[in-house]
Formats: sequence, structure tokens, C-alpha cells
Amino acid sequence: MTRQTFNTKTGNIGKSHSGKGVAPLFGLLPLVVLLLVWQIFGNPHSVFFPQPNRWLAAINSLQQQGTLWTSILATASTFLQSMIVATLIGTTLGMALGSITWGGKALDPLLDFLRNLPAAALVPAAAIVLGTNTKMALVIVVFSSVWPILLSTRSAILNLSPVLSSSITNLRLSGLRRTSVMIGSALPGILLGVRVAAPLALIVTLLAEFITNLSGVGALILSAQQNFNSAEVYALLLVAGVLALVVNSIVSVIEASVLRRHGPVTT
Amino acid sequence: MAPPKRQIRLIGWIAPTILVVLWQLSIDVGLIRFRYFPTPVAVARALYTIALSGALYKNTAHTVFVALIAWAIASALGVAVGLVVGLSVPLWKGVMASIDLLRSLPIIALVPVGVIIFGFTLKLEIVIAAYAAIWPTLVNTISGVRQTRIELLDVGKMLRMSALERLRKLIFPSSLPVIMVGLRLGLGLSLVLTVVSEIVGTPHGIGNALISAEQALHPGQMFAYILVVGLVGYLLNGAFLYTARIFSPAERSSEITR
Amino acid sequence: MSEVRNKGEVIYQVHDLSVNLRRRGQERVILKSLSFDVRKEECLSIVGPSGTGKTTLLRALAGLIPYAGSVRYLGETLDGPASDVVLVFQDYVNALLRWRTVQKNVALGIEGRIPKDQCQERIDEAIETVGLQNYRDSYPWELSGGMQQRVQIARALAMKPKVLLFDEPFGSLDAMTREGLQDELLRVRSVFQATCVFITHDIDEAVYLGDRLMLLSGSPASLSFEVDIRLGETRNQISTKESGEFLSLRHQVHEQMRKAHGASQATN
Repeated sequence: MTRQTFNTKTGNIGKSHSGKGVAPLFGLLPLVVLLLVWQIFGNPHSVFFPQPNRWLAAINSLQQQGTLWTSILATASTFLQSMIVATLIGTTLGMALGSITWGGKALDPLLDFLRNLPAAALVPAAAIVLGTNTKMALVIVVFSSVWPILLSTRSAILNLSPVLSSSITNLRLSGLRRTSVMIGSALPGILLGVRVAAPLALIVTLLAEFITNLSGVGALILSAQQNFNSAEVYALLLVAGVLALVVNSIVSVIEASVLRRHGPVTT
Repeated sequence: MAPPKRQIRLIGWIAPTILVVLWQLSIDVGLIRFRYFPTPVAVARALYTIALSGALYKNTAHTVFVALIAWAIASALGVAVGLVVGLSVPLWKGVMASIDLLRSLPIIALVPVGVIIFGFTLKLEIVIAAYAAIWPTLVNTISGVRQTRIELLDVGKMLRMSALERLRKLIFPSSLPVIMVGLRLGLGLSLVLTVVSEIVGTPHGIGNALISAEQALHPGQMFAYILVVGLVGYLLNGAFLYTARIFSPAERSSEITR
Repeated sequence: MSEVRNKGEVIYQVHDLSVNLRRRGQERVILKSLSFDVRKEECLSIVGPSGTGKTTLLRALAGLIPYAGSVRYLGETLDGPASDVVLVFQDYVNALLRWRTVQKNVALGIEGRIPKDQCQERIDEAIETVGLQNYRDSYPWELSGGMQQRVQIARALAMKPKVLLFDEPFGSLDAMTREGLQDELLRVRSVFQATCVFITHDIDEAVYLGDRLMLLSGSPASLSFEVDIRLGETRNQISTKESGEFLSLRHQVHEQMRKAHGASQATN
């Protein structure tokens, strides 16, 4: 996808016409205006489109009931645990599969099929087999978020520059040292996988909680929907959005601090 | 040279076969002991039953139909809006942060909003799936257009092309591979979210059949439907790539797969 | 060549041309107060170290960027891409449309503007001129770098331009291909009799191809040296490059370039 942007072996103006760049923050203005208009001109008794101030009130009352923070904590804990497990499994398997070059053709179709299995369909299956509990949620979240990490680690190892792999052999590195050099050079790939996996893991966590009514933000959303408490539904959408932003920024921070030594990543 | 295609296909079957055999054996031997974990044979039997009863066809047809409609809507909207936002730098600056923020809202938290507004209807399925599918298409169209090389735009000016000509002959074709990637991701998401709204409560389609099988404690049928969802996704993806390959010269299809 | 042709007619009249560009929010003066003429059917070589603003100058002549001062093309002030002027880019990979065949790429500038049969005729002529008749239906990415650059030249020729602007067209090709294309260019020029402005950082190339040579140097860049090149109509990679005239020109330009470089170093 990004191939054409890096095709700059020639050309002193080798840039796209408007550059990639980061979108300026004032681009949030339309959203702010929309919310303001909603607040000012919205129907205060609307069932479908409650005004934003009612969302905040709903958050507030959830907080007073004490359910908000315990739910956020439950969701965060499932998310964090599964990210750790998924990263460990994904990196290990990815490195193993990356070192057997002949495995690609034989494994690709299976991996492709498994990683495209929608988590939503797996949740009920896991619930019926493992029962409705946190362990089940963990299994599902790990299963769906392990693929990006596994695959991008594998391709990072497969694409290790031949120079590097021959210098590993050349320096007669073995065992632990060898592995640590491999991990080090595959790090950008691993992080790329984590970057894709993290938002996915959050969504699947919420999904598992939502479908099986397991404690957490997802379950709060479900009960709000079942009680037809629309202000609370919107409020929890906001909470979920904030969680997603937090996850994204944490991943960015980790990525930035780890990759500082690696220079720019070309994927 | 790459090995012939048929050979790849044959090799590709080995790993799944081993997996299925291991699955069957480990249950037979008692290595895995869950009350509701079906063996592959049980799943195959269930698949046969639902295929025979017509339920499989009916549910699959519904889900695929909804997913495709939602995808078509999302694609049309995503590409159109994406072209406009991508072409205008001031507009991009003015709205892109909003698009990024909306895109990062966990889609699953939006499902209940849809349920409140539409109830468990066909409309809900289509709206939710289209909403999910529009983002990759929109974002990829925007970035594809914005990635158009300055040299290419200069060529257009140099040859004194009109703005429309430049869009049609230069900008659109040069961003097409990126747009296609977005369309492909959108297709997958559209299917998944259709299934999600069926699982959550819409009384049709594969998702609904799946959840009914769970409640009726028919794990075999349930796993059969999961297999079907996976297959449908796999086939839709394959069909998309195949069609894309027909309409574009060889080199470009590899960019779409990425 | 210049001595035998009509020296009087002026295609471009550039007076006190300056160009400022914004880069990362900072306004920078790239070109400062350039004045020169481009005469009909001559090949003007402009040589200068990389990064001096040669490309910017060419883009200004092409009417692609705003400028201060005056640029007159055929007597009229230039505002926007001029008719009958075509720019050949260095970066052929991005200047060609990867999704079009050679033939369709060559057609890009004329399709839909002239009758179909006439269009096809011109395409065939241009493709034959650059010797790609066997690759009409290939895609650019199937061709070597040198061949891709030929496609770009053919696309320009198909438009029957009065002026060809070359932005270091052979800069990213290997030496052998480069020499081949240089001769090709001389040949094409004698057939099409277009006016050329040729930009390069390669002094040999500038001398070999030009009828007149100007040196662009400094930051902001200005013209620091100009010389007529009298090497005759027919040139040859070996004998021309060994001729006393060629070597002395080469020597002069080198000398001037070093001087200009030293001067800009001193002011920095």
C-alpha cells in the first residue's frame, strides 16, 4: 500500500503533492460544531438522539453508582492481559514460523483462514465450550489479536536482510544472543503488529463482554441498550471512544520510545 | 520462479488436514474434555443436516445479501467523499481530525446506538455494516488521492489537462490500488458487522442461526455456522481479488493484495 | 549549430527572474535576479551543482510555479503552462502512467484533441523516432530505465512542441544508457528542430548537448557564466569528446564552477 511513496530512487521533488502529514487539530471543529448544534437545537426529550449534556449526566450517575470505574477496570484488565499474552505468543510463533522458510506455502492458507474468522462468531462458541467467564474472554481476545503480531513478526524475520543473517552466522552468535539480535531487528515488525492488534483487542474485549454480558464496559452498554436508556448508550459510546484513544496513544508512545533507536520504519 | 499454482493449493491443504485430524483424535482419546466441544465429524454431520434442511442456504443468502448491499453503499459514499476531501487541501485540514476520531470509535459500542434508533430490523444490519465498511474506503481514498505524485500532477498541467481530465486520467487511476485495498477491507468488515448485528438480535442470517444453535445447545451446528462465516469471508475476499485482477493489468493486483 | 541558424528569433525572454518557495513554512529565495534569452532552435544547457534550483528554474519556464520579474514566451508574459512547451522529467517512474501501455502513455497529451487517425499517426511517428516500435503494448514497468525515459520523450514529441524542457532526464541512468540517449537526443533534435533547454549537473553532458551553456550557482542561485559552444552539427561520443574545443570548454566550465563554489563558500 505504501510502496509507491517509497519509490524515490530518483527525483529531487520526490513528494506527493500535499504530503502525508498529521491532520491539524482544528479539523475537530466540525465535530465540535455538530455536538454544539445537537446540544442547542436538539429535542430535550428525544429517545433516539439525547443531547450531549444528558450523556454527561448519565456518565455521572454511572460513576455515582460505582459501576463505571469497576467496569472500566475489568475491561482494561482483560485487554491488558490478553495483549501481553498475544504479544508473547505472536512473537514466539512468528519468529518460529519466520525461521522456517519452507513453511510459508504450506501454512499460508490455514493462517489466512484462521485470522479472518470473525471474533464475533467465535464468542458464542467459546462461551458454550468454556463457559461465560473471564478466561473465555481472554481466550477469544488473544485468539483474534494474535494474528497481526504473529504475521508481522514472521514477515519481519523472513525479510531480515541477508547481510544481517549472515553476519549473525559470521559472528558465531548462538542461543540467547542470537535470539536477542533477531528480536532486536524484528522489533519494528513486532511493534507494527502490536499497533494493529491493540485496537482490535479492545474491540473484541468489548464485544465479548457485550455478547455474553460479562462484567465490563461492554456489559454496561448491553444493559443500557436493554433498558432503552439511550443517554447511557451514548455516554458509554463516549467512554469506549476515550478508551480507544488512550490505547492508541499508549501504543504510539511505546512505539516512539522503542523505535527512536531504529530510525524511520519502512513497512 | 514460483511453483505452479496447483502445487501451492495441494500443499495448502496439508496443514488444515493435520489440524482437523489432531482435533478429532484429541477428543477421541480424551485429551480435550469439554462438554460442548464438538468433534470435526459432529460438525460435518451438522453441516450436512443444515444443508439438507435449506437453513444453511437461506441464512447464508441473507447475510451475504445484506453484507453486499451495505458494502455497495459504503463504497459509493466512501469513494465519493474521499475524492472530495483528498482533492482539497483546506477541506482535508478542516475535517480530517474529525474523521480520524470518528473512525477510532469502537464500532461495537455503536451497535447499541443503532439498536435504539432502528430496532432489530434489516435497516439496522445495513446501517451498521455500511458504517463499519465506509471508514477503510474513505480513509484509503483520501490517502490515495493525497499520495498522487507531484510529478504526475505536473504532467497534467504540462499537457494542459482540465481539472476533470486530471482527476479521471491521473489522480483516480494512480490512487486506485490504495482505494481497492480500502474496498477490500470494507467488504470484510461489512460481512463481520452484518453477522454481529445478527448475533446481537436481528432475527435473520448466519449470526442469528449461530446464536440459536448456541441456545439450543447444538454445538455441532454452531461450529458449522462458524465455519460457514469463515468460508464466506474467504470466498468474498477471493471473488473481490479475482474481479480486481480482471480489470487491472497484472502488476497492479499484487498491490491490492497487500 | 547555432551559427548556421537564425540567431535573431527569441523564444524566451527572461528578465530579473526571482523565485521564492515555501518549504516547511519558511519562505526561501531559490532564484535571484536571472536574466537571459532562449533563442529559436538552439539547445541551451544550464549546468549547476545539485540543489541549486535548476529544476525550479525549469518549472518557472514551464509555467508551473509563480515567479517575480518577467518571463516572456514568444513575446507574451508567461502565466501558467505555455502552449507548445513540454517538460521532460527526470523521475520517469512517476512521470509515466504505470497503468497505461507505452502507446497510451504517448497518446496522453494529444488524445481527444486531434482527430483519431491523425493522433495514431503522431503516436506511431513519435514511438518510431525513439525506437520503441516493438514495445507499443508493454507497460512502463516492464521496460528498462532508459526505455522508460524514451517513452517520456516520445510523449513529448507526439505533442509537436516548439520547446522541450529537459530536467536532468538522464540523471538516474547508467553511463552507457546515458550516452546512447544523448546521441538519440541529438538525432531527434535534428529531425524535430525544437528549441531545447537542458538541465544537468554533468558538465560533459551539458557541453556535449548544448549550443550554449550557462552556469547556475550560489544560494540563492544566479547565473554566473555563459559560453557559446561551437562543436558543429554532428557530434560523436568519442571524437567530439576528444576534440580540443570540447576539452577546453570542459576545462573552462569546471574552473568557473569551482570559482563560483568557492565564492558561495566564502559568503556562507
